[in-house]
Amino acid sequence: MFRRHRGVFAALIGVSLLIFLAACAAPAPTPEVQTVEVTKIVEKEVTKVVEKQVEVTKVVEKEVVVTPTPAPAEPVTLKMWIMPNGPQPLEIMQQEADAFNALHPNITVEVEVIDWGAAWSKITTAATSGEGPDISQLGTTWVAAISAMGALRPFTADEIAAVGGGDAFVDASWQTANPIGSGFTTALPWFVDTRAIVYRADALEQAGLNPDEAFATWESFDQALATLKEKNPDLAPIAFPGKNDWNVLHNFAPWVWEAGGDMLNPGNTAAAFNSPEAIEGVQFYTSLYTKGYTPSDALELNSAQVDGLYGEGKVAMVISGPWLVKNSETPSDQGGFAGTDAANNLAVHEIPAGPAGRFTFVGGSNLTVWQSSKYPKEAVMFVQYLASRESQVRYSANIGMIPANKEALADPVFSDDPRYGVFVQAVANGKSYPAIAAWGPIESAMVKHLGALWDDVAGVNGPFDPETMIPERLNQAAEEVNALLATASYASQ
Amino acid sequence: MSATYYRYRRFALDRLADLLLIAIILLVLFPIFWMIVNSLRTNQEILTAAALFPEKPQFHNYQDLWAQVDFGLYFRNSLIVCGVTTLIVSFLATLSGYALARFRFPGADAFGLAVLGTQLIPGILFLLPLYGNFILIKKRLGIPLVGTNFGAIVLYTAFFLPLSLWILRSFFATIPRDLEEAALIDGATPFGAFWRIALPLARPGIVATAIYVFLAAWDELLFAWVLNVNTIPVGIRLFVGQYTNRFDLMSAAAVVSTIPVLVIFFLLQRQMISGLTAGAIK
Amino acid sequence: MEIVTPISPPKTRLQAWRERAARHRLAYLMIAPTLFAMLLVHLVPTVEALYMSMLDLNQYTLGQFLRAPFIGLANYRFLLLTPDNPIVRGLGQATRNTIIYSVVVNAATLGLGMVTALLLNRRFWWRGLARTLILMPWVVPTYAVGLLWGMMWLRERGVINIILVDWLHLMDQRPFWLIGPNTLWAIIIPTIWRQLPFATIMLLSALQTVPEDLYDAAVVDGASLWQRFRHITLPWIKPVVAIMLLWGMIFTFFGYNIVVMMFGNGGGYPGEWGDLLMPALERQSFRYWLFGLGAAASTLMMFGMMFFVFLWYRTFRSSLTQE
Repeated sequence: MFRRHRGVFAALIGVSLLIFLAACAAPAPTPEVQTVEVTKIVEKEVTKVVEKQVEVTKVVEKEVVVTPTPAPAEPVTLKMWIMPNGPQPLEIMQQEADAFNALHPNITVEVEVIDWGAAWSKITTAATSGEGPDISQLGTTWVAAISAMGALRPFTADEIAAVGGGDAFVDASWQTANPIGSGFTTALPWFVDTRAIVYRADALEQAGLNPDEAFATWESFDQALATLKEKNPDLAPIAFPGKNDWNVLHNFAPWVWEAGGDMLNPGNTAAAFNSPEAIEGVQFYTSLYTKGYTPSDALELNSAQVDGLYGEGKVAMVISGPWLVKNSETPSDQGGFAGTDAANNLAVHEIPAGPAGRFTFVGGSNLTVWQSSKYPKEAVMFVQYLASRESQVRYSANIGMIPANKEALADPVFSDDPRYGVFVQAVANGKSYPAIAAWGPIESAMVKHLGALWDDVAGVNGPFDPETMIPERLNQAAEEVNALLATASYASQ
Repeated sequence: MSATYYRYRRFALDRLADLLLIAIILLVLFPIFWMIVNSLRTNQEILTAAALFPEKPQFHNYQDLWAQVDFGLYFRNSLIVCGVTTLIVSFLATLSGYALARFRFPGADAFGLAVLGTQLIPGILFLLPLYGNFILIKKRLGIPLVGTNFGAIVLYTAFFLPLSLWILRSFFATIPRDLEEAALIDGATPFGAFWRIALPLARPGIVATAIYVFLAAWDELLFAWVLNVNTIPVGIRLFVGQYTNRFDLMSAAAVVSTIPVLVIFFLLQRQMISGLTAGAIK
Repeated sequence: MEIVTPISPPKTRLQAWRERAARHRLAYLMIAPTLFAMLLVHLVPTVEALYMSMLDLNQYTLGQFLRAPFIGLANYRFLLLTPDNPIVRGLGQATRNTIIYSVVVNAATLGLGMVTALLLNRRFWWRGLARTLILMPWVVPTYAVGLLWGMMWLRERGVINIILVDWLHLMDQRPFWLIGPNTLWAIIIPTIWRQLPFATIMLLSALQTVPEDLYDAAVVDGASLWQRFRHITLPWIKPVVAIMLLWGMIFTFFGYNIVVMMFGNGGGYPGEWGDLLMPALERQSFRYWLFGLGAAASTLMMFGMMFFVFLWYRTFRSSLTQE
């Protein structure tokens, strides 16, 4: 019976096929990297040409002569993943890609912006399947973990030498590019995220405070905050975010270090952040909230919202990064707060030194080339370009960050600006987390427990007792982190 | 006397019900109002504002959002993915739903149960293997399922077929068989009876299903992230980064993302309502 | 369309089955595409995932994927037998939250939906308008719901506290909504808000199918408003309620978008009271890279889900099969 209607059925299937085809024909979200079928002979020739080209590029970079190099025959499209850096992530990155394309007309870079929340899962699945981008930005703390999955292509000694070797980069950043125990360099540092105190010069002046004295030590800092609160009850002395934030651990870290504590023990085999020193650091940091120096709702805000509090003139200082300086120069209808009192009186100072010295968290992002890349040579060339002084000065300034390249860092754009200059100084006191493979999960575990600690501090779990509650949370975190460190797997324990 | 009393009482109760309804409507609408108002503020204002209305409506947010992030790309992809998925699912669910409702074929019960069973599997369970398989298919067969609209359509089709099929199965069950049987006696084929008799009668059900599918696909987040499909839920998060948050543009984007649903909704509301209930009752 | 089998010599059951199958070729053709899609997306990956739950699949073995070391039921043992481990404790909290979330959201949407549907199920001139307005939250995508309410819940600058405390003076102190036990409410309430329209519209349409004469007869018998609702309306619409409960259960158990978008835009940790199973499992798999363990936990969740659906079926079996 069906046979008679085979025609109708075929038509229906045809229609559905058409719909599928229409879907395929529609512009794909991330057009696949063009796979150009080339015979082996051609491939070899291309490789030769490309090798020559690398040498030429080196010369070009050294002499800073911008002359287009002869293009190999084959056009190459590189796929790059970046995170939303700066106010116009895509546009700013496109500038770099275009500048590179001007030097190497055969190489086009396709940039895709992925947000930090999705980045974890995206990068993980890409690493599992061996189908990743050619190049990606990775948070400095992620490099070791993704390297351990075997997803990243190590840079050769020559490739590193071509950008000036490891000494060319800020130490704390360079460490993160070399996973401990791997013997490889799997990333090149791109930009640095560092923190300092961004404060209202007028507020301190009114309270009769000298910034250098106020921000000298923990004691003077505490004293200064108390004075500010007393002199101007309408202006909260300081604000920092609680648990709803990416930077939970980065916010705690400096205080732990300054108290003489550390994240892990020297061999990176066990948690150390529950030591008496570390506890002291955490207690001091949380006491800034319990003493009422912050607006009462600070703990449910994220970093950007806290920055917003500053821009709005609600707080006298925040612990923030160079992007806040950039925001103060951006008009309000573009998301900044230029022209306000907060912007006009903005000044920057390093964070106060603790009992064990002065340490700042140095994070930021590195650039990596993926093992799965079909064009590793070209990908490395682009990464080398992005690691160069010229590109880093421009890019970092555009996104409101500090470059990781020391030469770029010494550029007047950064070092001569009184405000950026402080961040440049802060980098010298910078410290980062150990570059071990398990760090990714460790950081997630710590963010979870420190987040719960912020709940305690806010007093929602009964009155906050820093003497018992802080050690308790940190011990719980240590328990989880130790388990993560002790073995590759929980289940095989 | 008592009749008047009852009439007054009834009138009073009715007005009370009106008031209650108005209160519920206001409560329900307030967050939407707030979303729209927020989309007209500056970023700083959103962070501070307690005022009901923005100081100066920032209509340019609706322009800026397309430039800040390539939101047009995400919007277009969402429309394509959800639109095509809706068409395919409606088509397939109609066929399968009809088969399940009308033919007592061997394995029908098992099939029906299996279809429902798929709804009990947490997506997170099969996310990674699914991704692996998609990559394998790409490598072996050259069909690009990851990072393409095509892949998303395949995925969402499979996701939303089961429930759609059930809605339509129930809907076909409510349509009397007499008409189709009469057609069969008149010499129509089973397919002809389905095509010419049952299908037109099932239209409200199909429309309801289509809307359900569109809404559900429009909402999907987790798989879109991992499979690199650039749909709106992926794009909207780009307005908030680690260092810069543009809540103003994000609010505007949120408003924009509800518009297509709103349009569909208004066009098809009546059919959808009758279709949904008929499907659920049986 | 069921054709009566003509009298024929006795056949084995297999033969009979084959014949019936052969007669229904059209039906098989009609379900074939669905079957294929289900195999590709649900069945095959789920079988792989079940196998994955018996592997030591973690950060270091991720590259080997299904060739990672086989460890039998160790993942399940770990989940079920070491409740004090911090990871398992976190999943326990998420399970507790998910159950509370599911119960409260479903009870409230059904209850509120019923009230709203009854209010709408009267004759008044602005009924069409009212119905449309009630439906509005349904068009707001859940990711937008999370973002929107995340801003509304803020303690000092969130509009909810401003209304509750400054305008209505319902509370003396501004409560934290996004910190501590209140977090659970911060995710429950927006979910109810989003689900209410659907519940209302389903119940309203169901109410409209109740035959008027049943009410008329009851009025003659002197039944009160409540009695009429209890003995006529409720039994009549029970099948709709049953289906809505099932959908609601699935929706809330697999709730993900609202939580993820509300807290730190995916960056932070929703807290001990804001974590649901789906976000918790996602963290397990994609942040800790404990995929084997994550798969085992997801499998347990699936079994839990099956148990609840079984309970649901037992409860509503009679009203579902009455047709």
